[in-house]
Amino acid sequence: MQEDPVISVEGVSHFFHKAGHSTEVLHDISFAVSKGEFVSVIGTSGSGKSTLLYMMAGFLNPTAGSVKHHGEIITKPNPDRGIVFQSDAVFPWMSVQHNVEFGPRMKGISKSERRRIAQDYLARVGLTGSEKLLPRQLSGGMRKRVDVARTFANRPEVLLMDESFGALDVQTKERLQTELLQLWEAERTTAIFVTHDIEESILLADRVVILRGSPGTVVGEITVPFPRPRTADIKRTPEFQQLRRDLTDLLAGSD
Amino acid sequence: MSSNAFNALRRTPRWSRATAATVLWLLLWWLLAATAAVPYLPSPLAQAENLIGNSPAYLLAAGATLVRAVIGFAIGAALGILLPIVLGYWSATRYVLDALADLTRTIPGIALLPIFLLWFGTGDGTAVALVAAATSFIVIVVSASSIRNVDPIYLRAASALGGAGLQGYLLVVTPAMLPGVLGGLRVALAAALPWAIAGEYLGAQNGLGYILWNSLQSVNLRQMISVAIVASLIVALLDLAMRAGGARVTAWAQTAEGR
Repeated sequence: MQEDPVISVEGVSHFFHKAGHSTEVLHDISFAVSKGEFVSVIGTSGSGKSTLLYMMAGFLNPTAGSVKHHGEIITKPNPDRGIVFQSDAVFPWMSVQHNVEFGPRMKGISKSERRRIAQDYLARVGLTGSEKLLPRQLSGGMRKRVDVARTFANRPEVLLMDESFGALDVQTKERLQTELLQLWEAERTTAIFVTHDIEESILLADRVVILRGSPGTVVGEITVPFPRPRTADIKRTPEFQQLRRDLTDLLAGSD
Repeated sequence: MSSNAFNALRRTPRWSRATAATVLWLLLWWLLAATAAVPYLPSPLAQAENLIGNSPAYLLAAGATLVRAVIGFAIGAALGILLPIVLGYWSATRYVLDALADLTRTIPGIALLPIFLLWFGTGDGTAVALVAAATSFIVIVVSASSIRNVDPIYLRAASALGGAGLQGYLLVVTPAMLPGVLGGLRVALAAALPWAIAGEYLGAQNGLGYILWNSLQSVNLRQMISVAIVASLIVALLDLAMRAGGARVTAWAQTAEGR
C-alpha cells in the first residue's frame, strides 16, 4: 500500500447486550480502505455488516478493536463520512432543494452558493425541476436519488452506503446503480457499500470483502478486475459470472 | 340486510338530514317548554328573542372571552411544545420530561382555579392562567410522546450531514414532532373557551363567564342558554380554523401512496 488507508478496521469485535444476554455479532474484523477505492462489504443476514458500517459512521463504538479514519479512532458522526441508509432518511418536512442544501447549510455556506451546489447535484441525479417538491410527492426511487444527491452535495471524504438500494424494485435499483457509477466516477469518493446482493457488489466495487457467519468474520477479499468507467453490460461477461459464482460459494461456505 | 327505509335514509344528502334533525330537536324543546316538563325552560321562540335581541352584548362578551382563551392557548401551547423539546435532548432531563408528562396527565385543571384566583386575583390573569395551564397539560403529554416517536434515522442522517448536537436535534425534532401534536392542540383549543369562562366566572369584569355569573344571581335562564349557544358556535369556528391551519403546516406529513 503506497499511502495510509483512509478507513481502517482493526480487530473489531462487537457484542450486543439484551436483557442480561450477550450476542457476538462481529468477530475480529480487520481490513482497510484506500483513498479513492470503492469497497463493497457483502455478507449474509446476521453477519453484522450494517453494524460495521454504523461504526464507520460513528453511530456506535466497537466493544473491542477500533475503526479509524486517517489513523484517528472514530467516536462520533462527522460530515466527512456521509451515509445513505436503506430506509428513507430524506427529511419529509423539507423540499427537495432544502434537503440537498442541508449539509452545506450546516457548514455555513452562503444561500446562493448552497442553491448552486444543490442544483448541480440534483441535475446529476436527473432531478432538475423537482427542487420545490416535497418528498411525499416523489416516488421511492426519486427520494433515494435526493438522498444520494444530499450526501454527495456535502462533499464527504468517505461515502458509506447501507444496502441503500435494497428497498427498491429491480428496475429502479439497476437505474440507480448506473447513476451511482456515473456520479462516483466524477467524484471518486472513497466508498464503502454494504450489501447482500452479490451482483451489485461486483458491479460497483474495486474490491469485495466477504463477511460470513454469525458472528460475522472476514472469510476473504476479492479484487474486481473490470476497468472503469463501468456500465451494467459487464454483467453479461463470463468473467462477471465466474466472479459471481466464486463469491456465492465463499458466502455459502464451500471454500 | 337493510330495509328500504334505511337505504332511503342513507341516500338523502347530509345537509337535509342535519336540518331534519335540528327541526326535530327544536320541536322537542318547544314541547318540553310548553308542558313545563323542564322547570324554568324558556320556549325556543323566547330563547331566540333573547339571543338575537341582545346579540351585540353577547358578541362583545364573546370577544373578550375569546381574547383570553386565545392568549392562554398560545402561551400553553408554546410552553407545552418547547419545554418537552428542550427537555428531550439530554438523557438526564428526558426522565424529568416523562415524569412531568405523567404528573400533568393526572392533575384536574379545576383544582387549579382557587390557586390561580389567589395568585392572579380577579381580572384577566386568572382566566388566561387557567387556559394556559390546562392547555400546557394536554400539549406536554402529546409532545412528549410525539418526540419519542420521531424516527431516529432522521437524527442520524442529520448528524452525518454535519447537523450534530443541539442544533441538529432542534432542526430535526421540532418539525418532525408537530404532526403528532396536532390532535392534542385541537382538543386543547376546544377546551380553552370553557376554561376561560370558568376563569371569568369568579373574577372578570366582562366576558361570557361574567354574564353567566350574573345570570345565576338573577336566575336568568335565557341568558345562560344564550351564553351556551354563543360559546359552542365559537368553539366550532375555532376548531375549523385549527383544522385548516394545522393541515397547512403539516401538509408534508400526509402519506402519499406506496410509502
